[in-house]
Amino acid sequence: MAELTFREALRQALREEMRRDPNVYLVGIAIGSYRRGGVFGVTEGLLEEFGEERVIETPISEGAIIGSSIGAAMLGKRPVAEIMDAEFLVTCFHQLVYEASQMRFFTSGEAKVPLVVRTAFGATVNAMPIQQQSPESWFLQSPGLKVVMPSTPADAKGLLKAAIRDDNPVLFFEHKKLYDIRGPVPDGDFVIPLGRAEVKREGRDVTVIATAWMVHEVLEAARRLGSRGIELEVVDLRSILPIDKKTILESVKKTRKVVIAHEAKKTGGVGAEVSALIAEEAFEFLDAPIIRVAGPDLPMPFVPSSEDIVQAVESLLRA
Amino acid sequence: MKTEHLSLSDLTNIYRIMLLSRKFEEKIVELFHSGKTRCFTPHLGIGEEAVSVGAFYGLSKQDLISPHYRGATAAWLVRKLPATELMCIYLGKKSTGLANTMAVQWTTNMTLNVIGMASSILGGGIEIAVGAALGAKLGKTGQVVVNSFGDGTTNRGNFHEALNLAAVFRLPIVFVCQNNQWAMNMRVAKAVTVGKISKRAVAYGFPGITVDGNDVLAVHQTVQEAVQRARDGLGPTLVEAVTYRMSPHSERDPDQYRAEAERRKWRRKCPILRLEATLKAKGMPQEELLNIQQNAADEIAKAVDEALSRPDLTPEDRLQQWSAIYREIYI
Ligand SMILES: Cc1ncc(C[n+]2csc(CCOP(=O)(O)OP(=O)(O)O)c2C)c(N)n1
Ligand SMILES: [Mg+2]
Repeated sequence: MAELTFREALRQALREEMRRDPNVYLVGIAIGSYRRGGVFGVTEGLLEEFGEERVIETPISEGAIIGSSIGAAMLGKRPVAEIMDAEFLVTCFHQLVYEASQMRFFTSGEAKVPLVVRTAFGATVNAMPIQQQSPESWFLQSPGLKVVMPSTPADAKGLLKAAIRDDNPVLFFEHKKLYDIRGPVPDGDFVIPLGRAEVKREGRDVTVIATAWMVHEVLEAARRLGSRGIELEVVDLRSILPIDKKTILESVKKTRKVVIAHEAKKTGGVGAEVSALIAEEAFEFLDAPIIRVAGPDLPMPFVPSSEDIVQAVESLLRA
Repeated sequence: MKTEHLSLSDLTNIYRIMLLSRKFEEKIVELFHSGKTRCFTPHLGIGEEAVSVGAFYGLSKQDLISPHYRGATAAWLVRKLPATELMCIYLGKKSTGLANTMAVQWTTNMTLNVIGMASSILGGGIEIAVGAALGAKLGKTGQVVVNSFGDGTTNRGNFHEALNLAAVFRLPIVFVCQNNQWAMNMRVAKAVTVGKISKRAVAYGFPGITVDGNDVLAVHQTVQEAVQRARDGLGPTLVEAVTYRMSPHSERDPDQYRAEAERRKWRRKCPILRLEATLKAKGMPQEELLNIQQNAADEIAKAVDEALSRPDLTPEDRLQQWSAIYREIYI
């Protein structure tokens, strides 16, 4: 088990999968010589190791990057495309939400699209309206697609390997604040099945469900509340499509109180979907209304912090 | 350099604005790397001033400009926005003249008729500029739109859709491609196979012209002719101004993918030094040039001081302002 950064864990997954399967290739803008491996340095060294046919830099044409990846995937290639910033996902939206996701249905199962789209998302600067978006919930309405949001280096590696091996299109969100965090990462063939949440901390009092960077804010809140005898159970969704109902419901039934935290806007966010699911399937277990801690419905991020989560938990316990 | 079409006072003014833009951006480099800015990472156009200034100078105040993000500094200065207001955006201070977006290129001001980017999606601005030209045509306002963008941006689908639409509707717009020969780490020749970007106009049936983008007067004259054409109802033109990106892609780019020799070669072609030589040849005394240079330096120093004395623009300010707009929209 090595101690790696989130960035290194992703790179290790890419390298191992590229060595294992010659059909895997990377494609995107500035993923080769720029900063020796992309704006966030994830692909460093891969151009040198695998050459220009497997680390393909393109002109600024995201629609064609994703559309052509779909076509290549239908012929048995396994493209891992990079969209530099999640703000740019809109430029390949129909390719993702209609073409990649629907292909398998529309061909009665004949054509598969084993495509991974990696993208950097999230706010690094509070209240900056540019390239700080969390657009993950837009993709919840795209059956056929899988959507992954890791929070730790180990999850980053295991989930990316699973995504590359999956025969379906997977959208892989990497929160920009996570790239530098460190953690233990199992060596070698370490694969985490998609669609499974993980309880990152056990606790009896309140369930807090979160994704990506927000998991760390929640863990910080749990430490602070823990010193006052309040025990949070922290559920990291890891995948938001599909959502791991079982893990969520088990935790809700145990603690009977729920907070859901994400950076994305409140309206129509993942929290809305998770709340509805709990209301539908575990209503009678709830001792208090669900609280969502999320960004405001404004075009720029005001990112919730551990303090907001502490306050939400306190108000829940007062209720 | 051809100068017949411009008076000495215009030439001097162009020189002054280019210099101001240069000194402003050099100051931003210094402030950014000493941790004094509070803004989106600067993407500067040092060495590319001739394109923005040449393209946007000499229009009527009613004409709309929609500048490439790299070169927005010069564009705002052409529109006579005080340097202090621009500096406020970089330093995270309250500007009285500009909406506060943390980046001058993401700023629009409909009083000054400057349309900036409304998102970071490259090429989005081209479509909006085409829309402004459509608005002008339908409203019979007589306004012309001048829109610039990078070479890399011409590989986006929306560039092609927008140019075709402008052609089909014969809109009063001039497209200026600021070809600085690089898009991040990609050399233009690797991204565009037709050689000259101006050739792309052939596909839409309007003129495409390549000019020396470090010759401000050539850029100016070519764009002015295209503006006249647009005003006369003859439709769009694509002007490709070939320059060179002297700055790194952004101030966070270590810029290690280009040969130093290439940069050195282009440093000698500095558009400001070239205009200086022209001014000297026209008999401008050295003393006056030095005077203009000193004034530009003073103006930038003053802009920094004034901006620093303004109140901070805090996240709470932004939350309040935007929440108020939200309420206005949804009451
Ligand atoms: C749709 C989209 N894709 C990628 C980016 C990231 N990006 C920002 S600037 C840039 C390069 C632009 O090149 P060019 O148009 O030549 O302008 P230059 O930077 O050279 O002035 C890229 C790829 C973006 N902003 N929007
Ligand atoms: Mg360029």
